[in-house]
Amino acid sequence: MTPILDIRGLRASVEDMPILKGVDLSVNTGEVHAIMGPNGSGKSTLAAVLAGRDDYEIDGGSVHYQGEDLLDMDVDERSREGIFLAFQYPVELPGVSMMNFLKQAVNTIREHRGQAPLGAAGLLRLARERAALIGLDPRLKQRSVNQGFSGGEKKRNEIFQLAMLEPTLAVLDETDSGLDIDALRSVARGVNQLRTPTRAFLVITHYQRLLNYIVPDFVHVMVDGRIVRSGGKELALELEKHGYDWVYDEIAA
Amino acid sequence: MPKLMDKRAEDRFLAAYERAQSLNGTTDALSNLSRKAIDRFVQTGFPGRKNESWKYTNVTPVINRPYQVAGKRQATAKGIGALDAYVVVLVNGCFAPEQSNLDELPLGVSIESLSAVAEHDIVQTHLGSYADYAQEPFTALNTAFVKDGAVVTVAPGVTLDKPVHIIHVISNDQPTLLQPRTLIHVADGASVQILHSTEFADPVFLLINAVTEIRVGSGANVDYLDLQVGIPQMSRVTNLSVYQDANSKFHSGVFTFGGELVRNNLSILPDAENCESLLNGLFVARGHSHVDNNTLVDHAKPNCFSSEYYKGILDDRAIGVFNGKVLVREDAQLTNAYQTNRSIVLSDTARMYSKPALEIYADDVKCSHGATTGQLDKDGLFYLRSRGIREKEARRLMLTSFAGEIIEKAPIAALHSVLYDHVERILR
Repeated sequence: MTPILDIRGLRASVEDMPILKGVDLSVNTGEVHAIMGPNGSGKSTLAAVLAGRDDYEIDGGSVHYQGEDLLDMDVDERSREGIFLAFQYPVELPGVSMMNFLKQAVNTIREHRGQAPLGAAGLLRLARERAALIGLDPRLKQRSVNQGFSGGEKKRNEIFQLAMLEPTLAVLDETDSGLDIDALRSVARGVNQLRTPTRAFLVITHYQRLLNYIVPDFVHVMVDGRIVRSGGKELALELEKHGYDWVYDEIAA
Repeated sequence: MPKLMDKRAEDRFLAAYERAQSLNGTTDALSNLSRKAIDRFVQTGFPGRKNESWKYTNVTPVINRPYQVAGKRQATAKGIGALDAYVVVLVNGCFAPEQSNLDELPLGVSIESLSAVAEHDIVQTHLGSYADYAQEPFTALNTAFVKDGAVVTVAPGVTLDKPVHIIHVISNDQPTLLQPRTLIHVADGASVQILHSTEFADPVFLLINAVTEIRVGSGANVDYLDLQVGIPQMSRVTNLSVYQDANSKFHSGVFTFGGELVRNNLSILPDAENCESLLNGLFVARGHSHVDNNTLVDHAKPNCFSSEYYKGILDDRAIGVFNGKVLVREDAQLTNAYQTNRSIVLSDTARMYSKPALEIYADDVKCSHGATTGQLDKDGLFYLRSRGIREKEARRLMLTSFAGEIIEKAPIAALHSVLYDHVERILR
């Protein structure tokens, strides 16, 4: 089976400073992979490079998504092809109404998939259903995108958009940061309901606690721009117990 | 106007004035005002770059064209289909009653030709009292040439059920100077919405020098919208002078979409207590367009509130200027005055000069001002694109949303979609 995401020897830098120093990762459809690592290890850079942010220079290696060269695609093209990034810091868009934004995004992607565009009523129905799934306050749909949203609302809004856009590969960049335990649970519940055999997740997190709720199939530990250990979900528990020092020690040994 | 280009611009305008006087003169009732205004214009001349308020706006190329004074012609107004309004049409500055639906006006409201009512008290008392021809050369020029225009009067306590739409239609086949004049007198406790717009068919050089004076009576409520759709051959100087009496509300929306050189002077004098003044503006300029908004809120009395919000979008080689002054005089205690100017510059060659200014002589006031000029938010663009939205569409969404903040404030809701259409058309 061709992996949905195949990263080989990926190196990337920002302003001549190497951040990713040879990342190898293979994700199959239906799988949930967690990437853990200390601050500054390059986790979020990996997410940004996958989404197509142009602040990073790709210095080497390759990324194939569904067999295609991902690094060759524009940001919006990647999204239309089914990649979704849940932002660590969602951007506020003053004046851009949530519904107008959703209409543009959903219908652009639907058109790309050969589906008929949703009308206002259809979109509203879908939004209502998916907002309920995530536990997003439906009134937020009447606001500008992320403007005046609390930290928790912003993160929920990311997962809500994930639910609306139905991607093939969802990358969650520290979705748990800044969430209290209740918000974390409800976001995780939303994500779990979106797990399907045709969708893969890459869950990037600093803490193990998110993985109590979103139970991964694989856990990878990233240190200094490389994945240094991979294993099953029990690896996360080991990290929780021993901290990242344990991994450093292992590498040193 | 004689096409002698060897004279100074001022001399050519003066010659045109004298020629007009000898041909048909000004209406007797206005001749005194007209004479004083031309004398003043001769003294001041056109504003140069040394004049602080014209520092970034050079009128020389625009005034050095061989204009003809707009004369009587036939043309038909298109109007705005989406808007249900009392329509007044002026063709080349002359009243066109056959295209207006003034017979439907409710009791207590009249819209008349300035030339027909020049000797009436309201005109004699108020015309030229608010638009200061001594200070502003273009206002002096307009006042000197005054012949016709629109006079809107609303009697005490009358509320109009529909907006008044004043349409200036310009028909010209040669470079033309048009100087529309409007006087709006809204008596105590009355309420009215007014929209000004201009239509022109032919892409021929055009200089519009408009003066509008509005008196807002005590407890009265006036919404005023100026829809300025430009073409690269059109230049425009607009002077809007507003006088507010006690407990009155005035709300303006000035929307400029292109034009070669556009200068909007807006001055508001809340001259009694408890006035509310809202000034909103939006300009979108591309190509070689130059748009200059120069505003003054002159807080003379205590307990007034003013809030000003202007936004601009500039692309290509366009230049934007915002000169906003809020003056709080010694007596104007407990003034609340806010002013904001935000602009987006889309190209390396477009420029924005923003100079918000507060001048405060009272000690118990709440005032703030701020200006930002920047590029389209890169993070916002990335966010939209990361949701599948193509770059062009993402930019359009962000820019119309940016403009939308001002559009949504426009008091005549039926115009919002018209304004959005203009933004999208010019940015396309």
